[in-house]
Amino acid sequence: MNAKAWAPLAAVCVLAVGRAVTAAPPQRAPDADDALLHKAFSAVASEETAMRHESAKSFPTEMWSRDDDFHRREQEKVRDWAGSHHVRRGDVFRAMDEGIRAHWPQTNGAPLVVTVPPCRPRAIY
Amino acid sequence: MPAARDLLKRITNVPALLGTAYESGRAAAARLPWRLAVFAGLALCASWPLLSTAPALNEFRDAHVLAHYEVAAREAVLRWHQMPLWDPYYCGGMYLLGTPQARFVSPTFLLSLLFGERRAEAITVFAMMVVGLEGAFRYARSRGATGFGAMLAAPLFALSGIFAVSPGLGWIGFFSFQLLPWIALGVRRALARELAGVLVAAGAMAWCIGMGGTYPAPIAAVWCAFEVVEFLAKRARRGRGARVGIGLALVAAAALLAAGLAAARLWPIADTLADAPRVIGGTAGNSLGKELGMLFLGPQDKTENGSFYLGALAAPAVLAGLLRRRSLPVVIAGAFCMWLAAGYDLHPSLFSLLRELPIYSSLRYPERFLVPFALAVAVLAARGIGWAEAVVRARRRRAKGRPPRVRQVVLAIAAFTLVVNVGPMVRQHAMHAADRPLGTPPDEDDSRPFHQSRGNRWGLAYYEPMQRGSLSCWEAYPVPQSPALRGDLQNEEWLDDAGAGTLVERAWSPDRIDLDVDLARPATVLVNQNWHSGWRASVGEVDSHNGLLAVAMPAGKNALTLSFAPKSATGGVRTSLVALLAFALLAWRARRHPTVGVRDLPWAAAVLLPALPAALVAATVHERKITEPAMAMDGRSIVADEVDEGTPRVDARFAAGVVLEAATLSDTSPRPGSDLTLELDWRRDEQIEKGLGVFVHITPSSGDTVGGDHVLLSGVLDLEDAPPGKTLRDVLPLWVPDDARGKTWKVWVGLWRVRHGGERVPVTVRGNAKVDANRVLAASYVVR
Repeated sequence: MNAKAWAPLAAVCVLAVGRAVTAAPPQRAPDADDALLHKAFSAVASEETAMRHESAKSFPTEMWSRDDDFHRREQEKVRDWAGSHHVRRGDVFRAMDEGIRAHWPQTNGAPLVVTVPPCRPRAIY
Repeated sequence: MPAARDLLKRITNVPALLGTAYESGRAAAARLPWRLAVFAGLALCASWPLLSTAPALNEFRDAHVLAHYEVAAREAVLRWHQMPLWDPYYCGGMYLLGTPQARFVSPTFLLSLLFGERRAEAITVFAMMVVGLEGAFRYARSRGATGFGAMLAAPLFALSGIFAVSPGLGWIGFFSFQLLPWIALGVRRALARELAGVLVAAGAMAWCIGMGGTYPAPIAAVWCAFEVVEFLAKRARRGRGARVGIGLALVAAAALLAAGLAAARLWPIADTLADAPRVIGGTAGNSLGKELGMLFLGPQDKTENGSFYLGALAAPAVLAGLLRRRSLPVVIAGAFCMWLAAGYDLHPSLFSLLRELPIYSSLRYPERFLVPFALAVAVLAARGIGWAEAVVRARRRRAKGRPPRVRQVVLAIAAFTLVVNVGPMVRQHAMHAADRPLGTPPDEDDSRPFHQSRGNRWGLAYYEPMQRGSLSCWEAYPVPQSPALRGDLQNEEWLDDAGAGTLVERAWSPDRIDLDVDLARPATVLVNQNWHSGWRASVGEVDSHNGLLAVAMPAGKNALTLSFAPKSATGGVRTSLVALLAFALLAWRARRHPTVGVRDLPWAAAVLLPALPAALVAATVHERKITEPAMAMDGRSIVADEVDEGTPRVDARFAAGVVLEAATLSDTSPRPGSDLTLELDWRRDEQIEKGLGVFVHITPSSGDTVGGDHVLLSGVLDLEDAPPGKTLRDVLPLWVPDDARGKTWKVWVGLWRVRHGGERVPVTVRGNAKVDANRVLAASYVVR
């Protein structure tokens, strides 16, 4: 086998892998402290009933779809809150988990839901 | 300045320049290293934006889920040193190896192990494009294209729109479509009695299945059927029975070997879908205009334009390809692909017919048949270039170096436009890459103990790194999920009888949980994960407790180990390993005897070897299947002997062999902004029409109708699978809108042919109900 003949291919492959390996990730937001995490939890969780109400309007006859739509709204709320407060989205999701588990204060009108309806993807779109 | 003048003369001599380019192209196409370097360069251009943003997190919802499977598999191997069998991080625990959309049983998983999922994703895209380009080249060559033509035309398939769109959506499994030309090539060579063809077809198909080819593998099988039909049509004219028989036997051998190699995936997937079948309704279709928009127009908001982009500049080469008589089979195959891609929009619908077959019944989107159409176009374009080349070269020989200008011009235009066409194709890749919603990747925190969380599947990528499982779940099939899972527990394992003793978690990993259990009396250990028949216990018996993983334990001190080792995984992996041995044996044989004669057929029987471990495991490993009764959302069994006593009867009969026995509302005067439940009680005959769905129209006295169409009764049970002669409770919630006050709402119910044309099923007996346009007035309510 003529190694020289394969050199251009090897060079392109090295370039591809090298580019992927050396590419820098997007800039990280700073770590959120406990107070900010509590604030994030309160901001998102306090909207839960309102968001579930909106989801019920969108999917009046399907429980899983409603719950899934609620999670979409929750994710958007997390994204927006993280963006506006310059914290990492992962930190806000962590705050949601810890807040629900440890009953952090929030002003939602009803108890937060800690279960989900079983996955039932819609057969018809 | 004679040198400069000479150079200028050369540069301005267009015919000479074109001639040089042509000869260089031919030389590159003829040499594998050069050709691959060219293809790698093209793939690098197309994937450069992805490679440059490789470490970023793709925030698109599907990307979160599909990448998660790869991450979970990688963690299982690298962190827990286990086979990636069970995924506790999603849906409350699911069979990872049996998840159809997971892509980790593929050589590309090595990239994920080496570079991490996100960086590996971009490298996988690059690598699979090279694989697809070379595959398309070889396939076009096998269909009589010249090397030069095949090289120019290969990007039409391997850089086409689907491969530009998929990375942004996280559909990396769709890159298994790049194996389509290899599978087709293997089948062609097998039909030509080449043993290597069996290996290529089987290896590529197994790879395709392992890479999550939920659409690519079945679609590739359709293309293989085209190949076989073409072969039979040609051979029938020539009448060589033995050769035909050997060719067909080798294709069958390839299919068996592919099934053996992919058994590690196929068996677990079959296991999963047997427990939770994917039911698809609807009659999706695409008009010819829409198909052309997908193939030839650039991306446009709120349309699917460009999603299978090929580029209009391929037209001259394709048109030239159409002039060749031997192109007819490819033209027919391409036409069939367009017909299939039209779905239910073209009558008769070939797609509808295809969906009558097992596996194909679960395909939703017909437009994905435009991927093999792209392969047909690439072959036609390659043959078009070849036609122009052949004419020019023949005339050149005859006219002693003076080919007619017209032919030269045809070749120059066809080749030039194909080269130029690569520009817009690569641009599509850049545009879609730029449109991705990218975010900062989550931090890993392996120090935390695992807990289930309510989670969020729209942000799933954030959960596994913080050692949390997301109960919030979406998949393309109804994942068996316990309604008792909780996202707020302090301990993930507990006793149903808390006073019976103590329970301490000694070790935790995805496929294995070690517990110390000390009981004064027998009790049940409950785990906050879904039950699956693959779980084994060292002590006691694994059970399902309302869908939760549970173990009935005796009194006393016991070290309990729960381990996940389903029969389908052990059987599938062993079968695949033996299939690999058979593959190696056949590869060794193929080097010595490339062409198979009647005497060599016993060698091909090696493909049956994987059946031995499969049969052995099937016969010796016994797995306890627990079938929980199908439950409605109100906790009652869906199947009952009779309608509840005192319920007013409807007894409307439909032509499909189904009766609506009764309909009940939980509240006939609900408040706005509240929920009520509607229960429809159905009964089916022994024989019923297939492909039915239930439509529910809730019409107010003024305002918009609310729809509640569905296929599965109570979201769980298909009418086709329901027992005949029983009452089948179909319970669904009804949200009362905020502006519903004072309005009267009527609930109209009927059946429709959801998988066959979409028309309503006639009501043959109206019973006690009012019937209008083949729908039954089931109930009505007034909002307070």
